[in-house]
Amino acid sequence: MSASSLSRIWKVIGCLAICLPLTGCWSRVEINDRAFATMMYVDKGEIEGNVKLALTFALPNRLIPSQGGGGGSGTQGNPYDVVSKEGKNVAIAYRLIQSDLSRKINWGQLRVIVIGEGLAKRGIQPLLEFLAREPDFHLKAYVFITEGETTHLEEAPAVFERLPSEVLREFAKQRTVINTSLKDLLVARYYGNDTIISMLVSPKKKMISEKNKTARWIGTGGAAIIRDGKMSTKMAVNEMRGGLWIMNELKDAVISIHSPTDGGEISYRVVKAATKIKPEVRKDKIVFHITSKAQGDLVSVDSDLNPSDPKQHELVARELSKEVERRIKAALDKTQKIGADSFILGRYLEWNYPKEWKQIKNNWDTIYENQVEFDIRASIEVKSQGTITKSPWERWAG
Amino acid sequence: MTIFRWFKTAKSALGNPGLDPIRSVAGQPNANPQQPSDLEEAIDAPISMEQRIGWYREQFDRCSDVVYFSFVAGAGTACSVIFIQGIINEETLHRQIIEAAMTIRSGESSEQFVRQLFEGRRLPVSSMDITASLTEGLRRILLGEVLLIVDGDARMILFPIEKFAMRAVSNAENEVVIRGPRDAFVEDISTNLTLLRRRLKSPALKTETYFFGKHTQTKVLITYIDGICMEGLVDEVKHRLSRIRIDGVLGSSYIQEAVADNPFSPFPQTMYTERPDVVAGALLEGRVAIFVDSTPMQIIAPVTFYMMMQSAEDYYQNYISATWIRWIRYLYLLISLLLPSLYVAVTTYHPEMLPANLLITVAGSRDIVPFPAIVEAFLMEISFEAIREATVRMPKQIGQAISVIGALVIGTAAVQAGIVSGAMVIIVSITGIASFIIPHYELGLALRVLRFPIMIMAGVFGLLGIVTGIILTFLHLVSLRSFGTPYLTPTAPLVLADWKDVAVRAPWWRMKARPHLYQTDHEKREHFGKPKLPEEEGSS
Repeated sequence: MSASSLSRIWKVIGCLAICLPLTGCWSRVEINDRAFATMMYVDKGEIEGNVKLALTFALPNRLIPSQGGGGGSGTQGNPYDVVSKEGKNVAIAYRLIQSDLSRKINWGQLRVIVIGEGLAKRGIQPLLEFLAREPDFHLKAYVFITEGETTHLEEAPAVFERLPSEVLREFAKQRTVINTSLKDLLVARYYGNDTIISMLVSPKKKMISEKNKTARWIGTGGAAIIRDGKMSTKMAVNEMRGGLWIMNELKDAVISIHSPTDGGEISYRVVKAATKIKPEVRKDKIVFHITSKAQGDLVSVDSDLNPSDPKQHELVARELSKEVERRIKAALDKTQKIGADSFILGRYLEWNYPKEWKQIKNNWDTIYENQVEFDIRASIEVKSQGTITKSPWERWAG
Repeated sequence: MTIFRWFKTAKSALGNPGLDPIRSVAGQPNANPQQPSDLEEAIDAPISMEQRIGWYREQFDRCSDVVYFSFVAGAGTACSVIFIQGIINEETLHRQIIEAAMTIRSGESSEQFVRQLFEGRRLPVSSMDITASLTEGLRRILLGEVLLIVDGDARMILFPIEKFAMRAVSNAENEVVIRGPRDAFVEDISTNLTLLRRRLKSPALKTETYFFGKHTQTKVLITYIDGICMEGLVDEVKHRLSRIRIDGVLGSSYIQEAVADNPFSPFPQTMYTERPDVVAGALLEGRVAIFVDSTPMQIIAPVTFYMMMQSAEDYYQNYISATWIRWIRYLYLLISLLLPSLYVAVTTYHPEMLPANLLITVAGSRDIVPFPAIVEAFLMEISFEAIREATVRMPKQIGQAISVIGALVIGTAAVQAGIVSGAMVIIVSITGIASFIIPHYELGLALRVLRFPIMIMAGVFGLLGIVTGIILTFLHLVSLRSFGTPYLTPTAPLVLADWKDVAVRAPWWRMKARPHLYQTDHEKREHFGKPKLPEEEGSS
């Protein structure tokens, strides 16, 4: 190696060394000096105009079984804690919490954001503002709105999971509720700020796991329609399910219909649902063609229907498709009534008709309310009939 | 000046080329790059036997292991043998040289006896050399030959009947395989050459002899297969060897370091092996092997990075499982280089990268640890290095104890005392195992050394530091060459045809061509195509 190439290497190293301070990576904080916020509750404060921020922190020393010596001090108490503060806005409340903590708050593990109904009605813009500016937040963090105050949820024990945030994450993952993430909220800001967020309920319940004490139970219940950044109305569970179809997020659902033969209940598990949405701009209106396809597996038959008869089979499939169409329609009608494009159908329009979209973008909400029609078509293919082909009582009868 | 040209000039300096000793195994003349000036001073041997013995006694002053034995051979001719006790086969000397020479044939004159002797018709030996140079004789005595001086003739006879104390061929200890051959090189170069010759029974296998080390006079052989090996490569090897001026060569690494392209690199630029089959395989690919006497490790050049990730086992096992194992090896190569650094960087700078549950587990185990993660990592890595070094150097019986104590101390006690976290112990153990997975020990060493700077980078700059470390390492690797072959061939430069032995281990019936990178003259191998069923063969 010659002297010149050596000096060249030093030059390269020098250049790299100069660049490194530019990256802002000087933020070395040991893992045991960090407090990991796993869940964020935001609600309106007690003083008018204030925001109440509560953060759930995981306490790792309590989560890990003691390791002898000076290890964790046992398993008493919950492995998490909630710290809450009130401030003029989220950022101020956050600083107040930080000043009360011995460790540095880290947003990296924040996966669930719960908004109180009160604040949601006042508007979620200030919260979004804070979340969007801080780079540490996971865009995949799930957002929920809770009925009543967030304090109720804070008190609810995490029965099945280690941390309460896990409970809510699993809700979202199961896709039985609409799962709105931080990213969806940020996207919605560009389409008139209408969206849909699923709601949580926290009824009181006697809990066997908590030594028969009465405690809050975290459950799901419907969804909230956000219009212009404010919660405007609630959606019932059934309507929300229709919403899942529109958003193409349905993983599996059980749909019960009345048998066309005698009106008995027939239940189908719907899987492999796929929805396509195509807008069409006509002279005076915009039509959205919503086509859903899915596969239905028979779960139970409470009627004299013979599932192995192809004719009856067809009838049922048609009925099933109609039911799905009804559900989708119900969800859309609800949003259209209040003029909130919660499912952000506007983006399909933007994609297919960019020029037209530019013109109508600014009064899209009014157009959505008055000039939009839906053409909903669902086709459910009934494939599996379960392990048995005939209902047990059928055999006894015949 | 290439060694060939030098050799020509040196040869003429030796005096009469006709008398030049022709003895090396492949019939190549000896060359001694070490002492050309000594040879040039070769004085003509004095006629008188006593004078010559006197000269040798002077040279071998205070050398108690040199034996001078004078005897009267057939037809009353006075003869003397000079040899070094213990490094020659004395039985051969007695039976085939002295006894045969002393046999009296009736009616034989002294002139007849001497003529027959030098014509090779008198003694029942398989090889002998004739020299007139005293210094050449001196050198050859030291190599373990017997010098026969005949009174009244200026020429002297050399009998190569050296017999050194040596170990028997035994199992390979460092490069163990399950299915392949077990024999390994020993310290004796002629035995080693036998092991190679047994595998390559071809006249194209060339072995050229050189001697290095002013005092050790270590025999060094350059071996290659003529026609497969690139001509320029052999010349380059010879050229680099010709530069060596050294007091002693005690191991192959003396030569290795002397011929390296980049002497400042931690990466090995030539490869050593103790397995004759690996050498044979390398020669068949068009490489050059350098045998060094008195070491069981022979050198192969040129090498690439990927070659050192191949184990001899790969070629003896089913190619599918060999490919899988190769991938595992590449994975663990990365682990052995990066895992502690990644752990430090992720936990101190980027905890959001870990899934929540894992993070909590890690955070919980680190909760009572008093040190920052980087200090913890260094503490553990350095103690692990110490244990490893101690275990290698300790006598075998004590080594066991050390490893047990080390494992106990670091593994259990340190965690229980809260000095290090359980997660770090896992990281260090996996890293330790990973560094043993790399088949070539020297490459593993290089990565072990590089791990520490990258750890510092990770501790100071986080992932960015690791990336910078990797980039710098790559910059070094792509610029590195081994005897002119880019170190990262066939990935940089890209030679897709050679990937058959890098990303996968292709079956033998698919390895139709020799590696492109050595630019051999004959790239096509003998090959036979995919094995077929009898009915397929009938239809095709």
